[in-house]
Amino acid sequence: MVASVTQSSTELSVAPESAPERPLPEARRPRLWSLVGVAVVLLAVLPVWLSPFQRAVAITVGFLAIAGAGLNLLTGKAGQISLASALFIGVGAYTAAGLGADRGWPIVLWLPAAFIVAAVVGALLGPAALRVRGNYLAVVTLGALLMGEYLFEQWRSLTGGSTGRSLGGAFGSLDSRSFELAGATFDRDVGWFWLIWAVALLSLVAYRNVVRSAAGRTLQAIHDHRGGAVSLGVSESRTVIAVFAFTSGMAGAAGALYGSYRGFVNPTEFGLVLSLQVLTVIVVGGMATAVGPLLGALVVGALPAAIDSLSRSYDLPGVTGDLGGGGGFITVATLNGLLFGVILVVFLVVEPGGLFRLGSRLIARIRAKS
Amino acid sequence: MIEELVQTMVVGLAVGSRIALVAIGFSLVYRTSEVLNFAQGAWLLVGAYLVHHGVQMGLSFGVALVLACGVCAALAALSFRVTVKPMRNQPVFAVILVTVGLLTIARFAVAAAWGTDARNLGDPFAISTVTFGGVTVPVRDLFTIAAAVASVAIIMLLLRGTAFGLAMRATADDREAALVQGVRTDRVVAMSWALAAAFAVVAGVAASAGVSRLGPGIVETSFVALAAVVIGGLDSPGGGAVAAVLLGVSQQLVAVYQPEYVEVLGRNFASIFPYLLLVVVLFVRPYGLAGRAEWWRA
Repeated sequence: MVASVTQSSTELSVAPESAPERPLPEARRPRLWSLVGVAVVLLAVLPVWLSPFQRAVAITVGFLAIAGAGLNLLTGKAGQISLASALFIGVGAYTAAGLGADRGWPIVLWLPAAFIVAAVVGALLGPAALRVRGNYLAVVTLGALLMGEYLFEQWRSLTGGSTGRSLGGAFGSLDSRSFELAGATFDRDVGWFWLIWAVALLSLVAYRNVVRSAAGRTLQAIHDHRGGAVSLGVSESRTVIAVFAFTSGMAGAAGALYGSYRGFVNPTEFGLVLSLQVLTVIVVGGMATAVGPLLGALVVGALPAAIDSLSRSYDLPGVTGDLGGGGGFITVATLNGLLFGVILVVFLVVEPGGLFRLGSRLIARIRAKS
Repeated sequence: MIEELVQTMVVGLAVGSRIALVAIGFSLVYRTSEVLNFAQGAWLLVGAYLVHHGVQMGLSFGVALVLACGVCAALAALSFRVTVKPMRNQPVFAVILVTVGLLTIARFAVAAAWGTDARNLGDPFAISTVTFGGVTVPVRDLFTIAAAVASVAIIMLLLRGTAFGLAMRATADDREAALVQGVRTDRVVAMSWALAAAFAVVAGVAASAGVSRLGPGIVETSFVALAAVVIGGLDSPGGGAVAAVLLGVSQQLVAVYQPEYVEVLGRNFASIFPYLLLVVVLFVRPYGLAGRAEWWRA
């Protein structure tokens, strides 16, 4: 709160013509849009250069960035711990399956629908979140996650039960092997890369804009001092339910896109391990920072892929490769799960500010030396 | 008919005792360090596999159980020293996340060391049963109930009858005041983690002995125990234990009668029943059945 007041006064002296009641967002806007412009150009040409394997990894990173941006708003900014991310990702994926794959709706309908359905489920958690916090909320969201997993397994007509289901045909032209645009032919994954990264960029901008809006300040106020915020007229119930709904919707959109891209989902995927991956994304990247989810998604998305490709070309000591090589004691998937746990614990204990704070400290040190 | 009901209740009592063993550990750790230690599930898992490993190496079941309790207690105290203690000034959700991270490490480490296929624990109970007046009860369940009763007795004696118990209660009530009075609070907290881990090991062994098999799924007992402590009130070990027993009995009743009478709820409905109950309790008494009201706003 204090930081924003001092910052806005300096901005005012530089740009006195900007609207006095909300100077900060107005003054900063040009820099943001030039950054977004650079990112758009970069992301537009990137998939053409990447190998198919790297493209698949990049799509996973984009998915994690969307889900991470949502959780970052909920846990990082609003301080509401949630172990239920995977539930909302699953709700989004099955909305895409039911509406896109089964009923043939176009993406412009099923993607918003996935957001809305997941947001409604998230809003249902809101009243529970108002009654409990901290330790209790962790248990409630874990319970929601386990109940969701159960529901997914029971609802066989939609989810295919424990055998899973295909999401083929959810996205017309992008489901064929290749597509044509402006006279050139592109691979299917290039289209998915563009789509997922467009949404990822949108969610990172959305995070930043929400944080700098009145809604963001309300969130911060409730996080910092709920009693004070409520006595100043903030509606706690409305804010908490809204933030649960919005961030769950983001997870739902992420799940709808990623499920459709993969073309196959199984109820057991939407468990504690996936929730933990999204949590690791925001912790590693840096909680309550705009670029944090992006940095975290790069680590969480790329690390398993790196280990996977290493295990294919080299004989890692003790690791059993997917090709059945070596008599190792640990499989690639188990090693990855183990690494997530270790990374999560080490970052929280040693550097809770994540890569973002690590990076800014490094930059400050380099500047001080030169 | 009535015999089936009594039998279900007794088995449910054993299920509840198993949950209570973990729940007491949750409350104990929560009282001393104000964090819900999700890593409790880790000791359940690691302990049961250590017992299995010990029996395979030729140890007797009892010796293996005691050793596993000791190893897990030491590891739990170490995990507190290395991870949670340095995090004193961090927000509570960061500490919770660390314990979830520890649980994840343990789950995958166990999968790496012993695989994920179901195994035989190597306990002496096997499928033997005892029959009282038409009611047949597995010996494993009698062991579980006895172990839970013994654990509650140990914890009561420790907390009420020893200097260490006094130090522990003082630390739980007011850490700084205890520190000023010369209590080595970090040691007390580490001991509470160790004690909780030992209870979890017994619960893990109970969950995989007898007709049950040893597998990664036994960690679910700790998830049900989480629901039990929230229903009972986190700050009340007694409330948590009572809620655990009630939850176990009702869960067993649901497991036996729901497929027959309310089939529409689906297979294995008993597995999520505790969380449904949790939701209901949260809306009626958010601070738990036995918890104090002011803890809810903290």
